[in-house]
Amino acid sequence: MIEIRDLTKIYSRNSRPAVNAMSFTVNNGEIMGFAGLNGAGKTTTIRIATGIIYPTSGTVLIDGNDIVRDKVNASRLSGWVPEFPNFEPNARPLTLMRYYGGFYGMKAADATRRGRELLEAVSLEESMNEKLRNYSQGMKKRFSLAAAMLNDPQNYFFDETLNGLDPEGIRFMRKLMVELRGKGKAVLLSSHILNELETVADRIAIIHKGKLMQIMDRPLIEKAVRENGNLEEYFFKVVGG
Amino acid sequence: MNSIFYELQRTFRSKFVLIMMGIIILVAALIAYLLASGPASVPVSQRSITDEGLFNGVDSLFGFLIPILAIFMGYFTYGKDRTSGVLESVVTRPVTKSELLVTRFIASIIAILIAVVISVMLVDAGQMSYFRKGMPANMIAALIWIYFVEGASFIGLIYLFAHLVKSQSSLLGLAIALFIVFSLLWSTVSTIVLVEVFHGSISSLSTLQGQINFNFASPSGYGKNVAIYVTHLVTLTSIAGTNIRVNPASYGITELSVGAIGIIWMAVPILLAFLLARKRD
Repeated sequence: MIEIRDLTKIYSRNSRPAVNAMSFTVNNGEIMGFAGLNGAGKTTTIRIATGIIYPTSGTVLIDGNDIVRDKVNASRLSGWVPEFPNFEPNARPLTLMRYYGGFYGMKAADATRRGRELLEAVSLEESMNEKLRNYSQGMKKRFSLAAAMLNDPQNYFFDETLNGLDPEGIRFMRKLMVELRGKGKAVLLSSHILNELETVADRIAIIHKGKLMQIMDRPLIEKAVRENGNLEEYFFKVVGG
Repeated sequence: MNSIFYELQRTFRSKFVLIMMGIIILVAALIAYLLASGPASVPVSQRSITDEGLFNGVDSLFGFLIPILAIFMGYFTYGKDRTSGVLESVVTRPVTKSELLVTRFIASIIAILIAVVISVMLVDAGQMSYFRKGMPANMIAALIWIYFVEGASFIGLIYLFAHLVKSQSSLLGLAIALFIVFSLLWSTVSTIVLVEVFHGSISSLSTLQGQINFNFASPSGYGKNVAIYVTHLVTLTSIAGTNIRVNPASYGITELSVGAIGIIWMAVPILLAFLLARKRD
């Protein structure tokens, strides 16, 4: 379970908070959509929740572990797939899997075996021996997904993961997220693509200029689509666009 | 704790660290080989070599090499990953930013220490073979200390700058500027400042204190003061190559000041980087 409590992030005193007193929970066995325009604060929220940056105030609990005070345990329980995966370009996938596996106390042989399985699962078996600098953006995302699943964490953060993927990639990701939900995992999926969120999300948190505007549950999502034709119209009504 | 040990091990085994160590040891081995393959009979000029001469010989060989390799080691073990964003994919693992920083730093300075100890021993062995005379133990220890402090402080400075700049090119530019100012041009900078302070007259011994103070303000200059502490010899900036014998304590170069400033140079940059890693972002 991912609990975001009263989260605020201020990058500069002269600008508005990137995230402003945001609170919501992603339950186990749930896909929470995270919708907002560019600069709404989606990536900042996810970067705080994964321990990359610090919050100005507020907390993020991953299965009860504070991402700031108990970072090691919190990170052990979460996986992150960024919008623009950035890995050591000269590394090969299995080398990096072995390196990451060490942080979870995995032996090199176990990490290699698990890494191989995951790379096959994300259809990268043919590129397993190539350096990551030769990977396309879509392949890097698939690798990033495999790396996030290395220790089979309970919680997942997908940051604009569907962006830049071909239709086959989008279908693959959608299927995977549904599978994760079926296994009882908590999934936070940020996206610009509202139709995708409408398809897979159990609830959708709409944020605008750092503030949480509304959390839509499934009946509300369906009602909004029914009344407006699609989710986009309803979204702009909420954010005032 | 497990992840700290793991990261320490991995950094120490990284190819960049091994290459940097290899370069230092290779240069030392080459010098030792050239000395050892010299003439079998020792000429009179070689017999008259002093302990100070042996010390300064080694010092001039590594004074250039250690800072530049330490800068590269700092860049490749941490700075590059930090500024390129690659470190983010590691930070999301069960490890903290400060653990990553500290373990990579410790692995790097252990690598520098090992390379320096081996290199100084190799060159001393070469000198022993050529001059039939080795350095006293206190001079060997001083040389190892000088390069260890210099290496650790330059690595720490690169780690610190990696938290202050946003791109790899900015970090590399700063690293080169750091090397040029602190290592190559420090005595020139000190001379210019002393000329200003003493209104053009820098030939007297009264400027020596200023020169020594300046030396303490640079990780490379610091080594010159340790050399004065060990050899009791000082080269006046105004008369290049002219050595005069001094009592180091009269100029504030004591065991305490040398030890304390060395520790400050090693600790302060990495401590500041550590604080930034814990509090900033």
